[in-house]
Amino acid sequence: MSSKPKKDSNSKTSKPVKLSAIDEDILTVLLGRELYGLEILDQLNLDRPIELKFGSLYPALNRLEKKGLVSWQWGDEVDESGGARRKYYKVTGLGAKALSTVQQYRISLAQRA
Amino acid sequence: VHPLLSVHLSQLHEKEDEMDIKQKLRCCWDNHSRILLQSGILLILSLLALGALLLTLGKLHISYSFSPTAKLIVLLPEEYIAELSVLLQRMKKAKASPWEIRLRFLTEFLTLLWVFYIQIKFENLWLPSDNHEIDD
Repeated sequence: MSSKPKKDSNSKTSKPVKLSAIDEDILTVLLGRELYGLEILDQLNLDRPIELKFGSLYPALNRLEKKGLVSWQWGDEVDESGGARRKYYKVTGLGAKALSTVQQYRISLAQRA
Repeated sequence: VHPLLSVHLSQLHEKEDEMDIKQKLRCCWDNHSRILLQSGILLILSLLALGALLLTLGKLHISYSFSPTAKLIVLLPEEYIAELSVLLQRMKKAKASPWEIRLRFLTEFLTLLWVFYIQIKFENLWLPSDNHEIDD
């Protein structure tokens, strides 16, 4: 029986990660801090011409989580939320790396222009 | 047979018939009243049983009455409900009209139902499953 060759653990991380515009925005907002969904929306909607709502935020957070770019933990406070807990999201190492790669690409693109 | 005797006999027969009819009527009336009485007893017993059932259901409803948040968690994930509650609290603090709050809640709730049950499930078909070994 032939055994499959083991994949290099770095091969996953070296793979380029696809990021949409909203994914990038969320990662940028989450850099260096933990926020829950509504706080993320507040930050994103500050200067946004078209308001972003939960309908766009949750699919994006799900994508980022599945790709390992963000992680979350339950919050403790339940005063305002009627007993339900909030999820606090933060950027993972891989997420920060992916964002940095995209930002560097944009800088180099701007310099070429 | 003497004619007077025959008349007398016929009168006697008539009286007997009358008595029979009266007896039958009385018997019939007795049966009816018995049936009515039984029906009445059954009706009262049924009403008592129904009352007891309603009382029990009422008590059960009181002991199992959940908050609106708990009821919504059955349909959507906890974090969605938490954020929706915070949003509504904010709107109340901002003194938005009740109709505005209800409309926003309804639109957000329906959007979240669509997002959770259709969009995310569909996207997860080609997204990698949770992988916690990547980070840290």
